[in-house]
Amino acid sequence: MRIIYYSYWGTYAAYTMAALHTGIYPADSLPPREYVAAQYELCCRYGEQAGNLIFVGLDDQLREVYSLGCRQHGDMIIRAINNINIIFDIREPVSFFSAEKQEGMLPGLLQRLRLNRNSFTEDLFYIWFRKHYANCRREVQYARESLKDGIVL
Amino acid sequence: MKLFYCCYGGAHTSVTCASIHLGYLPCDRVPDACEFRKVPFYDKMDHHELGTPVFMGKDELGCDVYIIGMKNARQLVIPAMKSYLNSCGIDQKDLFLVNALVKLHPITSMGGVASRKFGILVLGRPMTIWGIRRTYPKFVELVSNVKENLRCRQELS
Repeated sequence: MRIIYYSYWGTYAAYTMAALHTGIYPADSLPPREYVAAQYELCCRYGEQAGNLIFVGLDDQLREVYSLGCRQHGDMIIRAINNINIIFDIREPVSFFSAEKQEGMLPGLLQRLRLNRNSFTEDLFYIWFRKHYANCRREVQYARESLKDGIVL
Repeated sequence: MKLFYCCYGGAHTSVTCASIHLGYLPCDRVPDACEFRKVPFYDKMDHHELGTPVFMGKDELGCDVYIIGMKNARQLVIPAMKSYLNSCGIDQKDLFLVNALVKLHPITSMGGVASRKFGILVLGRPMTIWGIRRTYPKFVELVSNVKENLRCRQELS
């Protein structure tokens, strides 16, 4: 099974939720600052990229977990991927989880400021991360429960 | 091999290209309006179906021909499809995507909006047909180039 967390941007909430799902980020506390800095770096480098699956890792059931930036076309991309699965006779199911509600407004601003990369934008990113981490953690918990036994409930 | 004709709404230009490709519409003359009306899926794709590939038929080379509407998100949907196939370990040489958005007569676009967006079929559908008939040779040229390309690919493989 493949699990795809998607949102407007692929490197903010979608990536955070995917990292939580795979266990890269701890479920009981904020990750170390260098992990957050690494995600900030990812946002600076690949934040503008959309449509390409970012492989985040394997979860405890060895399911592949990805994040995906879809802009405002999430529904259309889900339909396309689900149908590609049928057309190419890919037997492995794929599950999508939206991270849009966990994203907020700040990633859009940060992406606009990305050319002025400095400690201020990094601090803004860290504020965004701290604010949304708990919500992401809760949503990942729901996602994991819905995937019990590999079946989307 | 899977061939996808992509356009904005998946209702007119991609359907016309796929129909020429599969022989539902002639390639040696401009078809009548009634011939367009008989084409499967012509002016049928709804907004909530965008992104769904629709199977139109199998061509003489054994290629499965699909149409797909992607709105203005081709630069998102195509990488998503390709990167997904890549993650599944499927060779992308089996996937052939063709942009069916040839330079259209403005009446076609206006008709498409009237028909698909506002649901005024009586007005919109004839406008799309009128516009496509005006630029029909461009569609025939595009399809013949695609077929030539497919033949070359098959010979190479």
